Amino acid sequence: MSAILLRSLAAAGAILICCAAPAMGASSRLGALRIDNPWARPTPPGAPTGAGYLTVTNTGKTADRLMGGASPLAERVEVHTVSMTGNVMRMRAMPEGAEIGPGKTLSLAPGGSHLMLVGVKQRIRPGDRIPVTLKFAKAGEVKVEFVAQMAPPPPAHGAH
Amino acid sequence: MGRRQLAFLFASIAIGVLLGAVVQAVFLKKPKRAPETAAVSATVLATGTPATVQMVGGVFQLVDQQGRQVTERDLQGRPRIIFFGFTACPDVCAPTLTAISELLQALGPEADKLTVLFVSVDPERDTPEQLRQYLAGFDPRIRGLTGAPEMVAKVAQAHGAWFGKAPLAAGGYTIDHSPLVYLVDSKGALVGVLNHDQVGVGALPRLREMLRS
Repeated sequence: MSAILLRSLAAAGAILICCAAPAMGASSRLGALRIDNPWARPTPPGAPTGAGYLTVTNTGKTADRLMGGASPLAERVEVHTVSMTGNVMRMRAMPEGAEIGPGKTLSLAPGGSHLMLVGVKQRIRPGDRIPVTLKFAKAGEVKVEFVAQMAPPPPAHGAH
Repeated sequence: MGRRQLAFLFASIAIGVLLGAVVQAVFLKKPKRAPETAAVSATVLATGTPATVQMVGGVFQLVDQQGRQVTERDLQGRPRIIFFGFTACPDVCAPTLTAISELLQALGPEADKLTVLFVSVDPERDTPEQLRQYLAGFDPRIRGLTGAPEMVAKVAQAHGAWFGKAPLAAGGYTIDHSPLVYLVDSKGALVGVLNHDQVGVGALPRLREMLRS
């Protein structure tokens, strides 16, 4: 077998690994809901809170609501919305949940809304996977893993 | 009155009005008076540089993450950047401090001329020890400040930064705040304000300019 063939095989392998591992966020389904790219920001040492982000697409015919969640790594997981009014960044809890209308996508992203991990029990480091059970008003519960990374993952397949 | 006189009269009125308009446009176009400090920062945010020279700071007494007392005298004669935040801030504070750390790295030795302050707007929970732990995750040149709530409020107000408590769904609170980074020159004048998402290496030229002035 020639060295060129070996080298191209290695290159192909490297490309496959690159594309398969961190580039694409995970995707999971719960009934008519598709949850894409759950990720979280690593936290500084001693930080009592963290933030998780994701998108939820409702492929069904009725609206649902993301109510929050639970995680063994945090005391509570709440849906929060962040907005800028003038010079002030305001964060509000959404006890009534965040709506995902039929055919709509709810995007939790930095500077907008997030799942706040209240009372983080250990420091979240890059590469950590944080198990979170998401709670929806109608669809029920689903377990996802938030991958800790500094920047948002690129959109999953079908999102562009 | 004859037609000529009438025409002359109208022409005079027209010229008068025109002159008045010109005078008003040229001489009466005064810059707007400096409004409240928060509004000044809003102007700064929009334009990147202050419309009027605003001296910031005032007299204060806080403690840093090592428990050392810090007053306005410790800041004299050095340019500084100030960010108001808190360690339980889930969304913007940590990424902003990361961006500030990267900025300091990129500045190299020049960064040593700069005082970098992270003032806690949650002094009740952010003890010096809490700040020390949290700031260990960032550039060691970032000095965390905390202290009496009234003192923190005074310093924030002096910069045009606003903050206030907001309740969480299941108890506890978070803090609404101005997620802005204030650039202050060695004479204590506010020379710029960056929004939290503008604190990248793109802000390097402005920082270098401030350090040279």
